[in-house]
Amino acid sequence: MDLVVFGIVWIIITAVAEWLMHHYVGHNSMYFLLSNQGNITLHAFNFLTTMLIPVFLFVIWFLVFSAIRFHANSPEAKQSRHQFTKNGLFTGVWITASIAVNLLFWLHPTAADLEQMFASQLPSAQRNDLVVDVTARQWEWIFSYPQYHLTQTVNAAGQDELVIPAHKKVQFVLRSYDPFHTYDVEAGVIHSFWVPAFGIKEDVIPGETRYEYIVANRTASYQTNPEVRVQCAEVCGPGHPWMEAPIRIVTASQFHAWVAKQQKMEAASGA
Amino acid sequence: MQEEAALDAERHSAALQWGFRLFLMVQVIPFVVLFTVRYELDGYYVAPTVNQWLGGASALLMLISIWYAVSSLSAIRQDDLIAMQHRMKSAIGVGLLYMALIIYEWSQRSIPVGTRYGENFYTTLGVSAFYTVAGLFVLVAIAVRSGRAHFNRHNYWDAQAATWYWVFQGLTAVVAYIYFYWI
Amino acid sequence: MAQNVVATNTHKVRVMPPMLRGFLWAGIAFLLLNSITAAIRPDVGHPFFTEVSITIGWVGAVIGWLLGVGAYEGMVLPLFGVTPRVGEATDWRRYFAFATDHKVVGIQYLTSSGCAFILAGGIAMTMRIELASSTMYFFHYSDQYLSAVGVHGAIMMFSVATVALVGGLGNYMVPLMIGAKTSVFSKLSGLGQWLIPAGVLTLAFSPILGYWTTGWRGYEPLGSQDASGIIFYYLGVAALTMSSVIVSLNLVVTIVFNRAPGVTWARLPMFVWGILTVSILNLIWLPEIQMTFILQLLDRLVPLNLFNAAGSVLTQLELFWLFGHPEVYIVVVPAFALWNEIIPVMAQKSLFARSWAVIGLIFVMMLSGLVWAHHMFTNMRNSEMFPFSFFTEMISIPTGFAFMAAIGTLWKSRYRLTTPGLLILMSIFNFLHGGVTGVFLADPPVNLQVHDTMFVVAHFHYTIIGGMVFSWIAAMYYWLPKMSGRMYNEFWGKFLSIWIFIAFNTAFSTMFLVGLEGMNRWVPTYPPYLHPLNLIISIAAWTLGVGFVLHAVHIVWAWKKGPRAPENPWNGHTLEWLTSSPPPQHNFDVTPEVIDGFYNYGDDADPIVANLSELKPKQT
Repeated sequence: MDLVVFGIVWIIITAVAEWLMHHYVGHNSMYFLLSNQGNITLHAFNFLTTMLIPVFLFVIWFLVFSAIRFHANSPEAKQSRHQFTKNGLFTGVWITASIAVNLLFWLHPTAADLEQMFASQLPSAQRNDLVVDVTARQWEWIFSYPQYHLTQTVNAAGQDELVIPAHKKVQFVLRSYDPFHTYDVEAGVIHSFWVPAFGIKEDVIPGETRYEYIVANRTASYQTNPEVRVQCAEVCGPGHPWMEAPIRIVTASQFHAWVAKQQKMEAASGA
Repeated sequence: MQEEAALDAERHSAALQWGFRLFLMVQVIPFVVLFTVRYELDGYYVAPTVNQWLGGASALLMLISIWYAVSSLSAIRQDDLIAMQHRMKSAIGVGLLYMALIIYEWSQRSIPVGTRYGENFYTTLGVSAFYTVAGLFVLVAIAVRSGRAHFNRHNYWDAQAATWYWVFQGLTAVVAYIYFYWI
Repeated sequence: MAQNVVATNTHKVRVMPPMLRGFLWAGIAFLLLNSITAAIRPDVGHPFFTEVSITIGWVGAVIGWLLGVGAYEGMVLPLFGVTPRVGEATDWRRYFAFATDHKVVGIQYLTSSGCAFILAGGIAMTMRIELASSTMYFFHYSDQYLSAVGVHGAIMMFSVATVALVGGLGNYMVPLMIGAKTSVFSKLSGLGQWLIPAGVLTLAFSPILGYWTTGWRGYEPLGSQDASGIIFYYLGVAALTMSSVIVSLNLVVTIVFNRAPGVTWARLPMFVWGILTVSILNLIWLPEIQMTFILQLLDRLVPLNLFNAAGSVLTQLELFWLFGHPEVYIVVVPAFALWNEIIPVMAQKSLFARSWAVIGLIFVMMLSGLVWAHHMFTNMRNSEMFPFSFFTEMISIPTGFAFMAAIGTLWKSRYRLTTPGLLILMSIFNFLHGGVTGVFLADPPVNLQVHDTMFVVAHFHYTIIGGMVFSWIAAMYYWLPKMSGRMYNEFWGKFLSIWIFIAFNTAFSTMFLVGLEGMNRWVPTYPPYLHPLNLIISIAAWTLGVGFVLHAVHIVWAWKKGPRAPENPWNGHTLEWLTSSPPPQHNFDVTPEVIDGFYNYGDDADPIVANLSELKPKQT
């Protein structure tokens, strides 16, 4: 009887939770994502949520159920009526299910998604429309565009600014050092290149060069959503909280206009 | 009751021995870290300026000191307190000589600190030397104590522990020598 | 045989209070060694206090402190064969000096941990004050905030999470639960306790040498670039980890050798299994991190180039997380064990699938060394992601065994929802959140988005506060009648438990959302769109802090003034309930002879000890 009540309620709340998840939460469980990699992340997140809801609710509902159904009415020590130390079926199902679920998670989403991710990083896939050199220093993100001979792009307020065209494959080349000092091994620390709206994060480590690849799937900017920003995610000293830069994702024609303007500005400043 | 107390004492001494061996096993871990870091940073490179024969002499001294310590332990097992004290003092003397050689070698500055090999050389051998100094301190304490505590065939656990420790640090020193001077 | 120092009652000797003498000797040793170092430094014109001299002075200070609180009489003089003039006190003073009775040491550890918990919790409260607004208004500079983060994390990790259940309850309960009269290396545990105040004070006062910004992980090369305060981080952690190594050594040997007849491995209590596995983890991984921190310290002081751009930055990260992930299990494994220790007693029902629960503990212990690099998915080659995400997902299988045993025991039981019983259910509830979100973090694509965000912060606070601290408080209530002979107030116990449960879940479940919305860690300021949720977290966190303090007040009150408790208020079957409360100096007058397991309940359960009539505490 307990088993039936427990099971039915479990199935009902699981169904309700899944329904809520798919109708309300699933589209924006990561809140704001606009890249190819971001979609992989979102799907993985939603898949895991879908699969974990029954497991999660099983334990939660069990705790609530036992607090209601199995609590003793008096604090006196009274032996439970049912005494058992094994139940082969329960143990077997539990262990088999937990192994199966974990293997599943490792195969999908983990292995499947990683394969997609790695594929975009293969040498044969590296015909990138745009290359952006990203230099992390304490405490600033510096963006340069070697294809357009831009050494440091800034917006009208003089802040470093990252502008990329939508629907184009962009390669970020990540390095951590301070270009304004003569080389000093103590000067570079670990930073982390994170764009919340892209769903990517890569630590930028002194002495190493790393790469990230992204295709943004629509236009957006820091003004339209604050998650469209480059944020240092790894603590890098007192300036860490302010080590961020706004991003603008624009159309191809807007991008070329912006490049021309930047080139003019750099020429004017004699850079 | 008496029997139970004797059983307890026996169990206690077994526990002490087992626990001390566990402690020494645990003390291997810092050296694993040091050796790993050296390998990570520097592979098996050995600086050409390192004096392998001087290092070899130190390692030999350490082995002799270990031998003295072990034989001092076997002396007390045969109830020979005088021989035990004598050999313990020899172990300390040779150990001091070992330290003197290390200090001499470091004072020569044949290996620059600022190189990858150098920084690993000095950190690892420095840690090893720290263990040696600690071991010397314990050996001295045991030598001083052996007279007052009346060590004998049934009561020599402290001397045994000190000797085990000395053997442990001696072997790490020798392994470090092989690793840093030859491999 | 190690002889205990016995108080000489024949004549009175005036001695300085040991802790005062400890401070005095520490100060003298610090100045002495600092001066010597300053004097022999070759370059002239350097300041009197340098990083090197402070480091050497600190080593002297800790030794002076340990000797001053009583290790001089308790350990050094006997080593040289001298009988000290004074022995251990037998009255209340023994709690404030070097002690060898495992119960005194346990209470000392619990007190140290409790104070450290309140202190580091207070620091967390200042962080939440700052984060109640999106701009800086409480701290003047961000490095002050970052120092607060680092000090909070390091104190919580190394002197509370690692220590309270092992050094505190482990020291007190393990010998009792296995029917031992004493622990094997009783002096070592006594010594280890006094390293805790030394380490906590070192960490708490680290900012006087300069604000350091790395957080509790001490990542290089930021560490070598930071202000000098970071050397007190390395040194403080060295003292605290040394304490745990010492305690673990003692407990492992005690469990192996001092079990009463009949306490076989198959009958060993769950909590003892937990302490055994966690002690082995401590013994393997703490020396590893100690040596890593010593290398970082040397890297800074000499200076060397081990872990900067000229050396290998990643080596330090790997070495840190090699320890860092087992540390997580060092924290929660005793909590898993406590669930299955307390649930059968509260349910008066035989423990379900005991062997699976033990296997779970052991496999968690073994796997925990294989998952470290999932903290570094943002740092690794693609090929390395597969094995580490695999092992990370696999470790949830043995973790699940603890849940399985708990669920099987609760099913069809008569569970008494006393304060400890309630807190244990809450702990399972909370840890489940930590575990489920851990599955998300084990998936590299998701990890690459939420790594280093408040999502991760919420995740590990769910495991540590939700899992370990809730279990700790449950165990304090559960064993309070044993340790003090007194009972707490059931209404206030439950009321406060529900209080912290609601406050905790409000604060940290909201923190998941903040992380998903794009708030990164280690920031005193954040974009304004994150403000409303952060305000909720701050208010709930403050409520939680107040709740913890009230719990502490309630427990201390019950300890001193609570009503007298019956000898075995929960009808527990483990051996600690067979002696008087609090237990006498050597625990049991007669060694119990165990003839059956401790978790069999029901009317037809066999007797557990053969000599029950001899053991029954004499009523006085």
